[in-house]
Amino acid sequence: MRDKISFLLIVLASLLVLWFSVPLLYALFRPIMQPELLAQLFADSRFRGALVISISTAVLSALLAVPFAIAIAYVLAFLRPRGAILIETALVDVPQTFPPVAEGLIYLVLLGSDAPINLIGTFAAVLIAKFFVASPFAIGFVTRKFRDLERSDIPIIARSLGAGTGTLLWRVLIPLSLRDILGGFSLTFARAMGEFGGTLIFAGVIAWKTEIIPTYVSRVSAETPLLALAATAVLVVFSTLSILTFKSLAKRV
Amino acid sequence: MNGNLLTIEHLTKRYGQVAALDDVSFAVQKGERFGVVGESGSGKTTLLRCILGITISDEGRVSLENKDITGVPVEHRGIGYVPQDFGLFPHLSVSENIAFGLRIQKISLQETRSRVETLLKAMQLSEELMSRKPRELSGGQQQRVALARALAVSPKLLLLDEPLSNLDEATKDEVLPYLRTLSDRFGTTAMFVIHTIQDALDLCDRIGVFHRGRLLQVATPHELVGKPTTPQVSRLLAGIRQNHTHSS
Repeated sequence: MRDKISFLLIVLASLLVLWFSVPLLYALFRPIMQPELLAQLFADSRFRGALVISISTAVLSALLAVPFAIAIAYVLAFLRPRGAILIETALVDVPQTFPPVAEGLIYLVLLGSDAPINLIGTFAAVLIAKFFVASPFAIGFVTRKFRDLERSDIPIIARSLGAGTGTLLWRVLIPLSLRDILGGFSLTFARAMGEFGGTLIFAGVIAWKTEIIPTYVSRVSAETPLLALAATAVLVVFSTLSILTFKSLAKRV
Repeated sequence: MNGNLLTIEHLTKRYGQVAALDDVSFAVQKGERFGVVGESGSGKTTLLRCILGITISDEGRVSLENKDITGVPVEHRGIGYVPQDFGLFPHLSVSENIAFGLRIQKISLQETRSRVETLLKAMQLSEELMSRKPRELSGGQQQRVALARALAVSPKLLLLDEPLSNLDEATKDEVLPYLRTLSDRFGTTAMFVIHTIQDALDLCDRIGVFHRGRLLQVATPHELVGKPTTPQVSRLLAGIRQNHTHSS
C-alpha cells in the first residue's frame, strides 16, 4: 500500500462497488438459483408482451433521439442562439431531474381525453413518456462533442474548402462524433428501458399495448415478489448487455 | 507589380472596450508572401478570422480581387486556411483529406485522383502514404498534407497560421522550401500569421507588424530591419538586429 490516502480511497471505492453490486447480483442470481421462476416468467404472455413493448419503445426512443440530438447540438454549439444555456438546461438537465410521474401527469392533461389528440393508453404514449426522460442523454453527449469540435479548427477548415452545413455535418461532424452518438444512443436506450413513472401515468398498464417490464414488475411484485425479481433480472441483463455491446462498438469507431 | 489581391480598409473589431483591430488598412499583392507579425494580443488572430470570415468586423472592409467579401460566408470566399496544428480530418486518409474540397466541387473521380497524385508529388509525399490516417504521419508530412489539401481547390489566397511554430528545426527546414515556393509552383498568394519575427524575415516578401490591434509598419524584411518606424517595431527587432550585428 503506497500511503494512507490511497488505502482510504480504495476502501471507499470498494464500499461503493459493494453498495451497487450486491443488490444487482442478488437480483440476477436469485432467479438463476430457481430456474423454474424464469420458466414461469417466460411462460407468462403478459411478460413477453411487456418485454416486446419495452425493447421496441426503448429502441425507437433512442433512434428518434439521435437526429434530434444532432440538430439541437448543432444549433447550440455552432449557431449559439441567445438563451442557449436556458435551452440546454431545459432539454438536458431538467428532464433528468424532473419526476417522471409529474412528466406523465403533464402529458396526461396535454394529450389526454380533453385535448385535440388523445394518446392515453397507446403505444405512442409509452414512446413519448420514454423519449422525454431518456433523450437528454443523447442530447448531452452529442452537444458536448459538437462544442469540442466547434472550438477546434476542423469546421473552419471544412468551410474554407467549400463545405456548407450539410457537408460539414455528414462528412465531418457526424463521423467525428460517432463514438459520442453511439454512447448517447446506448444510454438513451438503457434509460428508456428502465422508465416507469411517466409511462404508468400517461400510458397506463395494458397488456401487449402499454405494459412494459417496470410496470409489469410493479404489478406482480405484491403477489409474486420473486417473479417480479426475475423480471428485474431480465431487465438488468438486457440493459447491461446492450450498454456493453454499444461500448465495444464505440471503441471500434 | 502584380496588383492587389487582398485589400483591407479601416478594419476595426472591438471586444468591449478593447480594440482587437483598430482601423487597420493594408493590401497584399498577387503572388506575394505576406507576413503578419506581432506579439500575443496584437490582433493577428482577429485579423486572420476577419479575412477568413469567421469573425465579422465592426467597421471596415475586406476585399478580394476588388470584390467586397466582408459579409461573404467562409465557404464562398475562396480563401484557403492551414492552422497551426494543421487541422487534418482525423477520420479521413491522406488522399481523402486532400480530395475533400474537390469532392465538394463535384469534380470527377478520375480528375480528383489525378489532382491528388499531382499534389502528393509536388509535396514529395510518397503514394504509399495515401491510405494512411493523419496520426500515422510525422509533423512535416502532416504540414505538407494540410498544404496539399488547401491548394487542391486552388484558393486565391492561402492563410497560414503559425506555420512554423509547431515544428522542430529539422522539420522547419523540411517545410520551408514548400512555403517559399507556393506562389511560383501553385500561383497562390500566401499570408502567414507569425509570432516569431525571425521566421517572418526568412519567409516573407513583405511584413506587417501589429501591436495592440494597430498596424505599425508594412515593409520588406530589409526595410524593416534597416528602418523600423516605431519604438515597438525596434523592440521586436532588437534581438534580430543584435544577431545581424554579431554575424556581420
